[in-house]
Amino acid sequence: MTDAVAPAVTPYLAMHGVSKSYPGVQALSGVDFDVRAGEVHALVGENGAGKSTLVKILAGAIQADSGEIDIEGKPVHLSSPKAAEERGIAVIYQEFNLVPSLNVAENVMLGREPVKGLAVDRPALRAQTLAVLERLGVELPIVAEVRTLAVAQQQMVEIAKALSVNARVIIMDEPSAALTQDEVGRLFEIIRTLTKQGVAVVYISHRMDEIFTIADRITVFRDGRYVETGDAKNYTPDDIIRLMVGRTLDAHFPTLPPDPPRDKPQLSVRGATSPGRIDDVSLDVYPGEILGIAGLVGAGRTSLLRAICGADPLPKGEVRLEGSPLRLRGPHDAIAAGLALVTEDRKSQGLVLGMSVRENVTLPHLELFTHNGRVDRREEISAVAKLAAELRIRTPSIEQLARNLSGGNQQKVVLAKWLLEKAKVICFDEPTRGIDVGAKAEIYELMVGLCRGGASIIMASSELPEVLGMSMRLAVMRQGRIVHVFARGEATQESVIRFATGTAA
Amino acid sequence: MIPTAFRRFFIAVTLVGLTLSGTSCSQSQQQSGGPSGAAAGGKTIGVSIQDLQAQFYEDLEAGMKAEAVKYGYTVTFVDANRDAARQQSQVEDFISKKVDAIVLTPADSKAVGPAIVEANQANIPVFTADIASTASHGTVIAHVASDNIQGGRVAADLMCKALAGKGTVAIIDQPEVTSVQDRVKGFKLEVQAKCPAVQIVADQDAGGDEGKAESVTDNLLQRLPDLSGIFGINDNSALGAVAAVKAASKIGKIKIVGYDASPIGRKAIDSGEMIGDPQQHPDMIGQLTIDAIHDYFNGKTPKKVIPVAVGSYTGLPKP
Amino acid sequence: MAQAAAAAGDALKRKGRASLYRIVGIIVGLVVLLVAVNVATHGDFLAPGNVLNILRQIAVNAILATGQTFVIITAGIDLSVGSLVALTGVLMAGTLAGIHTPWLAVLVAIVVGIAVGGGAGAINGTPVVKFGLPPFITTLAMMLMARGVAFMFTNGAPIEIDNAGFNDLGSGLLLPTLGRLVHIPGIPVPIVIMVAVVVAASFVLGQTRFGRYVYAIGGNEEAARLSGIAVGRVKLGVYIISGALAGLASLLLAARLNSGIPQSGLGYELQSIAAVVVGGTSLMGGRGSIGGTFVGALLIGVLYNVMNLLNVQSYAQEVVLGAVILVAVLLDELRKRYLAAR
Repeated sequence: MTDAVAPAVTPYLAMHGVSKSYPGVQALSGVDFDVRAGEVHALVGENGAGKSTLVKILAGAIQADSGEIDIEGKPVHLSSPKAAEERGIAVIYQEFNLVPSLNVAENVMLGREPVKGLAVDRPALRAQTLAVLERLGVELPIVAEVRTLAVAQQQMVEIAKALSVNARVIIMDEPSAALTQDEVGRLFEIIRTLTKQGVAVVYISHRMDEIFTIADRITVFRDGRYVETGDAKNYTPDDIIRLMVGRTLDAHFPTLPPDPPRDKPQLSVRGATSPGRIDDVSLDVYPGEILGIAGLVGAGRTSLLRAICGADPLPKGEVRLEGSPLRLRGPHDAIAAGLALVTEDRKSQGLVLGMSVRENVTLPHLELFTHNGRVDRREEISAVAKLAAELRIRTPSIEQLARNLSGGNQQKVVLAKWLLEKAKVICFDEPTRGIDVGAKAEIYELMVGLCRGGASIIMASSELPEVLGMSMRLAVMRQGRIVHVFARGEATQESVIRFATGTAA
Repeated sequence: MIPTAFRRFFIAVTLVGLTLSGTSCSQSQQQSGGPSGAAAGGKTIGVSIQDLQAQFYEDLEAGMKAEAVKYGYTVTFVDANRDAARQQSQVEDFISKKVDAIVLTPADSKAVGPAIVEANQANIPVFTADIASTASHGTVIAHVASDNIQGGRVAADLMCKALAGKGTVAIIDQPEVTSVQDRVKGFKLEVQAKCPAVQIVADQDAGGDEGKAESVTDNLLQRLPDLSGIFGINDNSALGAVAAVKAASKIGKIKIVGYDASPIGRKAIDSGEMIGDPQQHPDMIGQLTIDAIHDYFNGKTPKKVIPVAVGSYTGLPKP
Repeated sequence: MAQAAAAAGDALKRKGRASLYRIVGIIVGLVVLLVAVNVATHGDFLAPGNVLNILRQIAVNAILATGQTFVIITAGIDLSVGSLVALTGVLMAGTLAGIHTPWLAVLVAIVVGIAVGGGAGAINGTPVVKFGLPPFITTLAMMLMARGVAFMFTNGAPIEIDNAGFNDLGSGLLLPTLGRLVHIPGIPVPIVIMVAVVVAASFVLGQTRFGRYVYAIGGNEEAARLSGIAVGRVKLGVYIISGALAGLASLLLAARLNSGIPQSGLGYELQSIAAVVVGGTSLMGGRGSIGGTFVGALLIGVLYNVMNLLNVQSYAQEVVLGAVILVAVLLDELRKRYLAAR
């Protein structure tokens, strides 16, 4: 895919020695980066490596302190998002910039609606949208409201929107995070269509397999500095990871302890049914065991975990803890019994971002620190400081707001909430989503540590290597049901996908 | 939290301080125009008006100002915005400022009592204008007001004449205000005496508010299709009634009498939408209030109640 | 681990020292300013009588704003407090007129006022909790209904209160002997009640589990629910607190005016919201404090007082107040951005 004569071509976009600092933080220092027309350029680095700062500068959202940005060889000043757009740079963020209540065509042409007199020229609006979608080679219901579309379709609307302003460089920030395997494949097709038309794509992702599938070149950032750029074919995933973390990670996953004796289950679920979500699910988890749950998006993984932990009502079925049935009227009952849920989206469900680390950690068990109606702050501090040290939460102080922590540290704070009063069963939903490689390994170590301490873990994840590497047994869900349970060592990527997609014999 | 809040407080007060130093200078210049000069020991009078936005009170204010200039008094007007608690605060601020006299048009005839008591305790004389205090406590030196009972009679005379002695009449009322109670009382008495065949069939509260008066009248018209007259206890009420009657295309058929003869009320009378108004003289009330205060300052005892005669307005003089 | 705890302690200490410097700076500035205003008003402003005036005048708004703070921190709003002042006021006046044993009448009236306020708060909160209605709507409805019932109950006319014991709650004085030392007749009862409410509310919000839950719900309701917090109960609680405090504020007002007035409390909901936002509480929820709210109410009260002392026209007063609200909140926002950028 890489153009053999590419080095001779002037890159469409080039950054030289770009720096940006915030009070107390050097976010980018002397970074070089260039993008050639028609290439897919992967930008990788751990969280905090400076990727998002770079994206914001290119998007015109913030301005660099020093350095130069050239477009087609001429220096430019990207003073505002509008200026960036005019220079042909479009960014597709993880949180889409769409108006949910407007339809597809209205979103694609937002702010540039064709007009006839004073009114919007609707036929022209639709025709222009269709033309753009045709260029992308995708079909979308253009009069449907965007909120009714699936995430993958919304992403296509974003891409169409970028294309309709004649973007020459489209920056995609973790575009696959919310997509299923199939949808990622579809996204790649669209990216290839774009590059054939000379549009460059800057692809930001943590997922090595994707990067090596789609990228022509790879640039690695570490700690706000540029590390190196090269053709993708010259690297292996391990090379890239080594460049990102500055050290070699011997193994992605820790060694799991031996299987625990399976005589008395810690948690049993029988016939759990919630119409449209999960259908007659039964499972057992034993003390010291990690049960993995795999499945495509919408297979019911999240719904199952939420029902077990009282986050959603469970109309039919039974949850037993150490043999005795639980009455789950809400999260409160589950927590009191010793069940904990680490949700997939820590920002919207796991943490109160405007509260400190300390306040977040003690929230589920504030009663432990309450004496005579008063919360004892000193006891809180000593308990949370102890946990923060154990979990190696990197924060200047436990009084820091959760908002200011990196993704991996935020996830550790969520975990700390449930370790304060030892939870017996911990349900992890996407335990490492959006977390950098180093922190991932730490989270895995913590999970193993919990198991050794006798806790049971149920872990749902859409990352196959993760469920394969971290599960003692692995259940595969499809359409709300558990279709197969693999014993340790039996599962392979292929066999799991076959069960998940319903193509297994 | 507290420290930052304090800092906010500090900055805000500074701003206000700066703003005010400008305003107060320009005001004092404005007010030192009297013969003796306010700065040279002229007395200060604090006035709290129940609703300074009403035309009536603007006229009253103008009457007071003009008369005060004669004597070289400084007069400060504040708007109680129909809130008895706010009026009380204003009286307390007047006491802190050590004014020489306080004039009130009470926002509430009863609830004004404690404020008057406070002024009494501070030995500051209190006068009321237009609306009297009916509180059981507190001493008022003098009350200056239109003779509202007489005014009510004037309204009834206009109505009796327009209806030629018979028909049905509705009152758009505001019963919590004493002066209005008097107007309605005078109206009813005079109707009984002068045209007993005219029946008063409804008496409804619209709070003296034009919008409310319109909807109240609207409902009345639904209920009483044969209604022949409406008495609005002030021009706002009457004009609300006009709007509703207009919407029902009954202008001319239903005779409307207002009260106050304010500029917009007079316009409605000139155009024939209303037949006439008792005309108060708010500027006279203001003038006589200042005169009463002047008498008091000079050791004379003003009359306890100073009535101001009410006339009538029935349209532009015929050319 | 011990280090981490020590670091946390250090962080708190550093915060404490920084704010100490700031407080000293602010106090110096404040003193200079107050003296300036005092000179401009020929010494009337800082006269002990006037200072008590201001505090007594803000008591009603400070108490309403305290209740409002609880609601707003949960990202709600209570538009009904002004009308509840009117409703509970006339009901208390009616109760006092109906019971002939004075002390019993006072007792029953207080219970009626606070219970009706709290009950109305429960009616505000229930549809919010059970059906997810926006609090703007439920409290708007209550604002209209309570006002209407107050008018129906009185036929639009005020009810006079001639119970001396009750009226003392509005205009009585405590510690007259001590007061004489600083040339004041004593400490007005409303000030004592206001201070008690502010201190108690500050404790509840800052030191108890309930308070912590209020912040958590305002910060992220779903995260709070998944942490096992009984979100519905806490939310219902804040509306009941706001309603009950409206009843208490109404008591002070009615006792002060010796009347229960159906038109009273007009616009008080907005005054209380103004005090809350000027005090640094975010309308988006999750952030704020009672101390800030008290300073907000104090600021508004001082402004009105100073403007009256300086002969500022009534119309200009509204303009200044509006501008101050805007500027105060704007400065707060800029300060937060500055801190966030650091």
